[in-house]
Amino acid sequence: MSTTTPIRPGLGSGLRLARAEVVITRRLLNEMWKVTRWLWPAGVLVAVIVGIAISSVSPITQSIWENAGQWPRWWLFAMAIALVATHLPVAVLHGVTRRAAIRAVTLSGVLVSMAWAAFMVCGHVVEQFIYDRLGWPDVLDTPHLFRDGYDVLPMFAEYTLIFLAYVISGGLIGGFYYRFGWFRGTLLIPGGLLPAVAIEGLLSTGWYGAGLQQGLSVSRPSAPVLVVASIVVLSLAWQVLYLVLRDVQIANKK
Amino acid sequence: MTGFQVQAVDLSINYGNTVAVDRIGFTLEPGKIHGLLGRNGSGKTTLLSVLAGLRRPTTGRVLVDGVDPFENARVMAGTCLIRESGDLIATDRVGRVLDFAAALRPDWDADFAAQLIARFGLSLDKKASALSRGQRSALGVVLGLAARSPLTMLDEVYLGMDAPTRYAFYDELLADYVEHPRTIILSSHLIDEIERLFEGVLVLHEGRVLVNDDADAMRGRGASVTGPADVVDQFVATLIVDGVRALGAQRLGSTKQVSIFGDVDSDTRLQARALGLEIGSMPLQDLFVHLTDSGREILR
Amino acid sequence: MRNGTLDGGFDGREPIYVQIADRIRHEVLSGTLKEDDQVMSTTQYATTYRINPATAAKAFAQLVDEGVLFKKRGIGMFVSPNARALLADEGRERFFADVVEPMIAEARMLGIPLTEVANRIAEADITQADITPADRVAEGERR
Repeated sequence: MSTTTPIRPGLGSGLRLARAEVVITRRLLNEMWKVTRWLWPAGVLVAVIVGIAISSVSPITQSIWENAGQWPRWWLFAMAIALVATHLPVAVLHGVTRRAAIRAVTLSGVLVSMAWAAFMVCGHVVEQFIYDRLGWPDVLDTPHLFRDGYDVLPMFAEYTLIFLAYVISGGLIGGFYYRFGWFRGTLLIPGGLLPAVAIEGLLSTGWYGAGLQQGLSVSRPSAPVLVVASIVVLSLAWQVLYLVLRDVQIANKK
Repeated sequence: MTGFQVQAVDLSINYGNTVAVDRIGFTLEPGKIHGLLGRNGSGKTTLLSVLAGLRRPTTGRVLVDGVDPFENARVMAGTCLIRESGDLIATDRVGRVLDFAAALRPDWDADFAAQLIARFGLSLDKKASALSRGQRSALGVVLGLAARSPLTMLDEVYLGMDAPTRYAFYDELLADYVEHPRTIILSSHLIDEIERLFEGVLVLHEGRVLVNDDADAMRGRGASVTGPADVVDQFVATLIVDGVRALGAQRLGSTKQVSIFGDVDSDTRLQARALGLEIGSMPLQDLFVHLTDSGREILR
Repeated sequence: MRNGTLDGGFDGREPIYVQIADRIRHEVLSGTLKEDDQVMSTTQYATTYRINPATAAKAFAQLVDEGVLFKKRGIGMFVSPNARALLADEGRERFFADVVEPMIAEARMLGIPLTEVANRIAEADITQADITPADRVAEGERR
């Protein structure tokens, strides 16, 4: 004898299932926004203070905002670890399938990476504008996909990919810990960091990126190639995340 | 009748090398309140985990509403497991916890939830981490009842509650069940007060099914025979021949009380009284203690 | 009306559906429930006494079988027209098995001669016939 759960009038079951992803995504974005809305002003403030401090001593010769891109990577990384470990179990206990939760986590990760990329882009544009007005050279310290502060599209792509890489790395490590426990989770940390390391290497934007390039003495491939390669790497990393989480046991809490 | 049917077929669940549930099979009829009883470590919580899709069985299978619940969106959305620890995000306020559940549970009744919140005296503004154990349990009950899930499972939710809260819980549960029948599993090792709510009883012991039966039938099967020791022994011996089992005995001087398990018809009862023996019924709690104490497997 | 006691007044001695059935029989016999009165529904019983409605239903089913209650479709359970007489008859039959035989056994155990018991009963019969209810009350107070 089969019984069906009552379906609200007007909603097909397909639509009802999609609602779960939306609910979880909104929730995750909401959680991150609570902190982000303070981080953004704080980041701007710090950059401005640093700029004022340096320029009072000697003239500025390079981009400050470029360095401001470092700490968001690690914040996103930490957030991903924390949110995956807490919200996936809660979602499942509210009757959401793991696959739906993973979809929500993925969507949230992409959206949040794009939001932070937009934040970085705005900062670069503003910085370039200020530097041009004050006659300072806006030199970029490490190689990028973008040439200067106004090269918005490649800039946005690069930051999105980098931030997404750290989000996926965080998700992997959070997933490893949740699924495999403290010991094996710790052993798997290097594996979890691979996506971040790989994308940093590919886009050679990190501190070791330039060194890696020189060490391997390869000439830098064109931007579109790098973007595609990054997307491929991140897709593979996401696939691993999916495999780790799609049938993970939700722990007993006793 | 709405509510999911629950079935286990040759089900085993292991944790590493520990066998938590050992090749069990049973069917729980839909739309009834079932008591899932067993001592700590008997496999109750593990079984509920599998029913809720939290993990897969090791061997065998479970069927909820006829399908494997693991990662089945329809069945999982219609299955609600509330655990004693309360699976909440610590930083959430009570209001947010309710909103989250409301968004994810297809049959959520917001008015009923508000009514229950008021009944249990919970504040919407309090953070989940700031709730006392009893309040957390009460919130768990609100989530479990207001969801109106076709399969609702409450795992030891009332252990942290004080007496008035417990009675409020029983009342609300019954009243809502009567209005909106669904399959409800109440799991506990303490059943004194709550056993009256059961229509079916499933007893697990050391990973095996000891009993799966109608609750009233079970209640009719436990009895105690009290009287002079030799008379009691003789009488019980005749019962044992008829298939009744003796679960345990107590002596006080020359008086003996033997707990028995089996069908005792009214003629036999009259017989006992004629012999000067007293036959008393046994509450489910005592019956349960006896059955699991002796660790015997009582065949259905 | 919510039952005041925690366990609805049911103890663990008999299965609850037996206790419910007994209680209803008692109410019919004593006149609290009159013929053609409506009895509480199973759900009302359940929520009042904190029991599963199926348990109440079992009690009702038993009473319907006996002929004490009958069901009016769509309305509820009612006391049968001749319920009181029925129960009195039933009670009469069980009286000797449930009350008299045990009393005899008890008397024997205590060493009370049965003739003494019979005399006391005869006395009660005579005195009951003469005195009025008011006297009975006074008698009770004196004892």
